[in-house]
Amino acid sequence: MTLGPGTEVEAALESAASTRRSGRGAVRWLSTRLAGLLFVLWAAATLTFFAIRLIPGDPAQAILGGPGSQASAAALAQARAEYGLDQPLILQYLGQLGRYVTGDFGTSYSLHESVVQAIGQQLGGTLVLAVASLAVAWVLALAVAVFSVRAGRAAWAVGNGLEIVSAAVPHFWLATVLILLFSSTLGWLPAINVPGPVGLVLPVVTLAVPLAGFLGQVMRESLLNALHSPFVLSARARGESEVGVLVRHALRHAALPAISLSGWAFGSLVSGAVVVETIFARPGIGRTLLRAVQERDVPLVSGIVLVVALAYCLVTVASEVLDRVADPRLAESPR
Amino acid sequence: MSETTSHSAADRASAAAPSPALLTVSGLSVRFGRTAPPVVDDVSFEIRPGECLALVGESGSGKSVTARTLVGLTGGDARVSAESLVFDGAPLLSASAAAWRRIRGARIGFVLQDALVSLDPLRTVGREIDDALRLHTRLGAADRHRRVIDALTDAGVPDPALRAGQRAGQLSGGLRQRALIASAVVLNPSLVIADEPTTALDVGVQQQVLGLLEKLRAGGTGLLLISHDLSLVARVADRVAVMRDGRIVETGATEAVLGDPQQEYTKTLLAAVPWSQARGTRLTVEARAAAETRAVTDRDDAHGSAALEITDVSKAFRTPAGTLQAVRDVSLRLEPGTTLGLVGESGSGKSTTARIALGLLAPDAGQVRLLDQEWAPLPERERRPRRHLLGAVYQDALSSFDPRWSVGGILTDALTGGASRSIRRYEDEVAALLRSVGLNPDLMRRRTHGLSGGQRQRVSIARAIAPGPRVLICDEPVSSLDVSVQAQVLDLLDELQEQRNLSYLFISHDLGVIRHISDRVAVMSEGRIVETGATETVFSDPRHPYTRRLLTAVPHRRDLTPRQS
Repeated sequence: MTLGPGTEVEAALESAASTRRSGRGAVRWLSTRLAGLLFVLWAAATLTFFAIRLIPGDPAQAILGGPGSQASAAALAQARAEYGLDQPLILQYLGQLGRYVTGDFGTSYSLHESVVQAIGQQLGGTLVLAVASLAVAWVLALAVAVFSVRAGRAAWAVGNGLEIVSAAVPHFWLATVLILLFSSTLGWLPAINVPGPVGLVLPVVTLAVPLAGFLGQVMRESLLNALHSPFVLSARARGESEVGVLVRHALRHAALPAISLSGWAFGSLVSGAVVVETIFARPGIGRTLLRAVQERDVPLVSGIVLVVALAYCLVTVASEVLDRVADPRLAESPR
Repeated sequence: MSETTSHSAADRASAAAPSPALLTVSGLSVRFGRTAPPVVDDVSFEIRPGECLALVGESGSGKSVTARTLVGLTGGDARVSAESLVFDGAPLLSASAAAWRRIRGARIGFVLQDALVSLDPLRTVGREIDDALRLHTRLGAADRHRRVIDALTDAGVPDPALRAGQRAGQLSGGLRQRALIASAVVLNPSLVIADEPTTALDVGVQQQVLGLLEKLRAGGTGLLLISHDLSLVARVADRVAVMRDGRIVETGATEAVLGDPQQEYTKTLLAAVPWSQARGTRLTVEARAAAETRAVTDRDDAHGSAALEITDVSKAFRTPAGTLQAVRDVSLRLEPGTTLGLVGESGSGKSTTARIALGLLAPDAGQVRLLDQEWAPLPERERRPRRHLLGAVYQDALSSFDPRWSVGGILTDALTGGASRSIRRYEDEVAALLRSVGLNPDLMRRRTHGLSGGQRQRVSIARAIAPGPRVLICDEPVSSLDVSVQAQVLDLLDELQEQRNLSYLFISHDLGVIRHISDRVAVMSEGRIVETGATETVFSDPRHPYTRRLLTAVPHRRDLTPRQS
């Protein structure tokens, strides 16, 4: 009995069209992301340029070694001319944009080396810290979510409370407590940076715990929804075990919103790195940024902001790609 | 209909007697929580191999809980007790978790309604079917794949290799439901439990799914069919058990229970099925007592100008897959004080037509006239002063309400054309409105999410009639309601039409409802009106092949009368 041949033909056409579409769609999707990325970089460069001009004080003074350097008027004038600070603001801005396009990020005032070089030396440490923290946050969030969903109402409340508290904990406080406990009292872990994975433990935990709180909140909610959905009932009625239900069905659904959040999470990790790297005396972008701001090192601050903006964009695109892998429905919905 | 199914119940019972029961349920009770009243209360029945028992009843009667209990998936805090619960000679109540897992999917198949949500939306249907094989057999991947393709083929899925690689969301409703059934029966279970397997499907697709269930039963599978749809039950089931408030109130052979019901509740359920009653008859017993049967003929008169006239309207949508011509050259004429039923399967263009008539969507071509004045295409500015003349009632009443507003707020908003939501100033008017749709005026301070489905639809109707419209467009207004509630709402619409001389454009995929409420019918298929005429003419003497196919797919009243051998 084929009463509605129309619907099947339509479905077939639809699926054929979606296959044809996917190649072209991917190109269009990537090119819009690329345009967005360029826009974000331009906006970041512009905002940084003008925001730094708002800081009181004379940049020429900063170039010559800060307020305490007693630079002569002639030296200040020379510095201004050398760095183009005597030109109208708009020309300075356009000149800076032009130099960025050609890949010239200038020389750091305080470090007296090229900005590219300075950032290159520091970037690795921060990336390792951020990626490790993100991974640990995911593991913690998943563990708490699965435990609290599986183990009844009391566990649910405990899980929820843990997540809210950890999401609310400030990095500097958590870092201090961890140092007091594990370094000063127990002496298990170093309080400052030492080479190798041991030195990474406390900074990573400091960054991962609050993030795990955020991720856990969304994961637990969507895990619970998935476990109560009819398709899980169907799976159980097929004889699927509890572990099978989690692994083959529910966890994938639970991960979807957390994957989307991970792009944002990476951004928050970089800002957290400023605090954590300073407290644990770790070399990295965060600590460099803090010092650059204190010393009004305009080229270095601008360079770091651009690099962080770029990294943030790339991670966002990566999390979108992951989203589409985990949820194939996204690839076929019209954009 | 085959030889076997046309036998009388007695014949079948005696033929089946020697085979032992596949499933015996006796004194089954289920409650959630320690003190709550039982959701399933002292339920007993038997199913033999090759036999179909239907559990019927309205939502909340305990049908689905009973079904889930039979596969040990009642829910975490459920308390299940029974005198005996025996499947294939083994007691189920004492089964361990591992024993349950060996039974589920392998020996008892469970089919839920709505395959869109009952299949994992992130996985392909092939993997879903494969799960059962992976869990219960030691077959290798290649063998399992072959069995998956076979199962889809058996379920009547064309092009199974392609379909196995698609997700539920990529399949049409019918294919999806067949894939779901395939995933439940791939291991040839001896008992299949189907919970509302055809709800939300078009009649044609329903027919296909029913055919599939029939085939299983003919192959010796026992079938427990859970449904609120009596017409479906009448066609498939050997025996029927009517459930109400957790108890079985009446049980027996299908012909006996549906042909000659003994219990009041069963009679009410049967009377509420709209196709069993002629136009102008009230469906609920109380309403029938109060209202005289109206003469149908005097409503057929065309007096001069139409209430709503749609002329040569077309509308196309651009989709990623190409242009979709949703509506092609549709012309409809709604006479004042009458109901025009617009019927067709999903995707036939009914709702697009409704949106154009409401002036929510500009047609590509053609025009709409309301009460003999231009209506569409027209700038909204010129339509707005006459908006109150045209009202709308939708299928999903709840999502058409702002959840933060009280019932009174919603109605005041409609009464004043959006000028006020202060219940206090319009209390009397709102109370009168609520009374006119058969609701207690006390409801005005309540919010809509606490109301029952029938109450919500009544509020939605009250909202539609509040500004004093002449024409109402009703888009599937009773499709998600239980039969007895559906009957009350249809009666209400009839009453309001009489009192206020309203004209209805009534859209539904349900031919029984259309037949009951409409004076004239227009049949829509693939964006065109293929047939139009007086209701009884179209139903008794359909001209267009599509209408004929549509009608043969629908159960008739005679299915309920005792079958002749």
